[in-house]
Amino acid sequence: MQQSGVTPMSPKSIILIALLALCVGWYALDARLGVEIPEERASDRPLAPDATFSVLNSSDTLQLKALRGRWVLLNIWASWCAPCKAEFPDLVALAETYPEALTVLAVTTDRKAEDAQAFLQDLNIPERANFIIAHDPERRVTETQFFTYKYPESILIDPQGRMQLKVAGILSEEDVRRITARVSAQE
Amino acid sequence: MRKWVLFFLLWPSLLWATPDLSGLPLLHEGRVKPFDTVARIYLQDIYGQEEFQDIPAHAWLTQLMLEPGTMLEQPMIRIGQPQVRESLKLPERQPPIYTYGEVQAPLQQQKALLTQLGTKDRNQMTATELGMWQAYLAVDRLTQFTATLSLLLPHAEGSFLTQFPEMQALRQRLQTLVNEKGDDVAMYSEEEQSFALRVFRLDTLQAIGQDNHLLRLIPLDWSAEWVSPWELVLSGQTSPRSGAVLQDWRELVQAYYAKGNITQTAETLIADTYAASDASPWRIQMEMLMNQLHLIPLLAALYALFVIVGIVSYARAKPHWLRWAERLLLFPLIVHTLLIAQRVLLLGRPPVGTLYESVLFVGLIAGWFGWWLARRRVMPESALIGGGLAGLLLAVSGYYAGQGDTMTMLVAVLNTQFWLATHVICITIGYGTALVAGSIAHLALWRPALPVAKMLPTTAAIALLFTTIGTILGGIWADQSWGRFWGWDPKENGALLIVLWLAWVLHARMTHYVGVYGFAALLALTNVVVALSWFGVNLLNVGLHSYGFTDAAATGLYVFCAAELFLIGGLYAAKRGNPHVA
Repeated sequence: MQQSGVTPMSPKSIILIALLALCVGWYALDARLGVEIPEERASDRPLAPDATFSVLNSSDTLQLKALRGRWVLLNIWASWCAPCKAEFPDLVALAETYPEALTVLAVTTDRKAEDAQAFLQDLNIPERANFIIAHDPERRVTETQFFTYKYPESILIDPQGRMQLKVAGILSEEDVRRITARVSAQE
Repeated sequence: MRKWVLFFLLWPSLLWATPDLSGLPLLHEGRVKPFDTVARIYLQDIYGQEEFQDIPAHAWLTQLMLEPGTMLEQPMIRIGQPQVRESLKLPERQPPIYTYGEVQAPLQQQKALLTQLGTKDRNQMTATELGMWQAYLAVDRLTQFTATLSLLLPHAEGSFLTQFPEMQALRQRLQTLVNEKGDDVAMYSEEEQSFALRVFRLDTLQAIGQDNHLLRLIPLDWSAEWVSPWELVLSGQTSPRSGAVLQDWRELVQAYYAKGNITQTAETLIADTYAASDASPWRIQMEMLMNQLHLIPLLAALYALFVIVGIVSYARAKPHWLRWAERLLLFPLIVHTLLIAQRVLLLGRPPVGTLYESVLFVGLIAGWFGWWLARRRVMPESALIGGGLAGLLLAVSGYYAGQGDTMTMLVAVLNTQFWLATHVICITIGYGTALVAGSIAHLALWRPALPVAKMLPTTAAIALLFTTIGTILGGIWADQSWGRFWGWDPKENGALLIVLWLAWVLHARMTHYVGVYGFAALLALTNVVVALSWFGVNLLNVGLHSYGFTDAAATGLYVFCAAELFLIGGLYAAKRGNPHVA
């Protein structure tokens, strides 16, 4: 068969062009993305937001960051929420069991402080240093920082400030066991 | 040459698209995909095209979520089958595209049939049943899409989400009202009626929303799962990161209703979704690029061009044209390779997990094998054969792509990376090389004087090598996955059939049991053996390798086998009857 005068493209030049195209493509992908991915990824436990709460019936405020070094059980509740009432004794018991290692921060979203006060009196909640009742009547902290839409909600935050566990709805016995196990392990 | 370089240098410019939701990652059928891909899949399913009235698929889906009422009034459900239109009492029109309401209402009357179809295997359905089921799926999916953001859409009292934290209190208040005044609304004051209506509307929204799972737009912090906005809120599994994504969706809805523009909010939403997930930005971008490039039609055009140039040069006996055709083949082969490579990168597994993928891959192998044989200067016709086969298989793959190429993840047993990589790739390389060997044998029967005839034993031996190794590796895979080396599964038998056939044909020639023509004719029949082994076993609809098969594909296979038998028989008889041929 007769050979044509045109020199065929060598495999080297084909590979070179393909590599060049890949490099340009890669550069373009990098440039187009422009999305800064934080180092902290979904595989890690999320860091709790640095929220500031108003203490109920007081002008004091409490920064969540100030509780670093202890476990914090953040509980979000409302006086009209029946399951919240049912689980409150469990929260008190946890605070009593771990006076040094755990702080229970129970945040009410009741619009009126009196409703929350009546709820607490009803349950006869004893005053404890590691059981703090905070108030978020406008749901500014609970909704915009913790994105709580369902009551009650409990979030266990470790001494480093990471959210280790979240329970939406009433705490079950199993949930209490899980909380106990974690706090005991690092007490 | 220069144009070719320019093409490769310029393709990244396609990445600079208008900011919208197209690049948003979401979890769909086990894989994180761009919003654009998911929208294309569903629009193709429902409307039969990848664009809806000149708007791209992602914009269609976005509008469905943001403006459900307006969008559902537009005809978008294609009911192609006359029997289904008749069953649903739909008016005849061209094109046969109907609104959500037109299809949904008569489907309500078919509840018993749909319940029965819900438990039936799709492969066992008649064409009408399948059409009816697809109509139901279209309605169901549109219901899902329109409810995706219904918790964020504005209402007189605010969105569902703003009222949700107080839902328990609202229900308790309504219960007190009912206890006091009974459940006859006529007894209520105007304000109480309005309040009862508000709670009823919230309950209805929640009832619809709690089954909303199709568009998993939000990654969870507490597991690797992704959920729909409704699932996130109702399960209470929000975290600062997933909550930020939900907040972005809220702002996007607000921006759309306030300004009719989501450009800025969409960018923030995409960035926050990436930040909250392990989604790979470059994979998403690559998939979007591939969606925009439309490589399959380009590839089909390039193969068609190659085949035309090749046939013309061959028919007009212009050898240097044939050389040009051989060079031209490189273009589709490189595009074809890129297409397969992007599938490997996106799926993170070898490109031979489904029948569609295997057709694409075998085509590529046949193309490169033919080109490689041609480059050895012994038989330039082999490039034409390889390229022609690649183009033909691409056309066959179009049938399977038409059924929805969603790049799905595989069932666990088929997704074992190492054995899939070795066994299936080996066996499909065997299919590709066997098809090239069989096709060259056709040419050798037609023109025995060509140098191509001398390479027949080599090509057959290469095909035998790959099919043998592939079949043995298949046994090892079966042992790992199913606990037995050989189970007489139809697909296993099919692979063994090719090995035995090629071994027998080669031995028959080596021992001079058959002559040159007999050898060429038997080798040409390899195409039939491969087709039966590859596609035919799926006809049986049994065994662990069954991927599903349809009547149309079965007819195609029968026609192919009959045509091959007729052609090979004819060529062989003509040669044997002609004393002048060597």
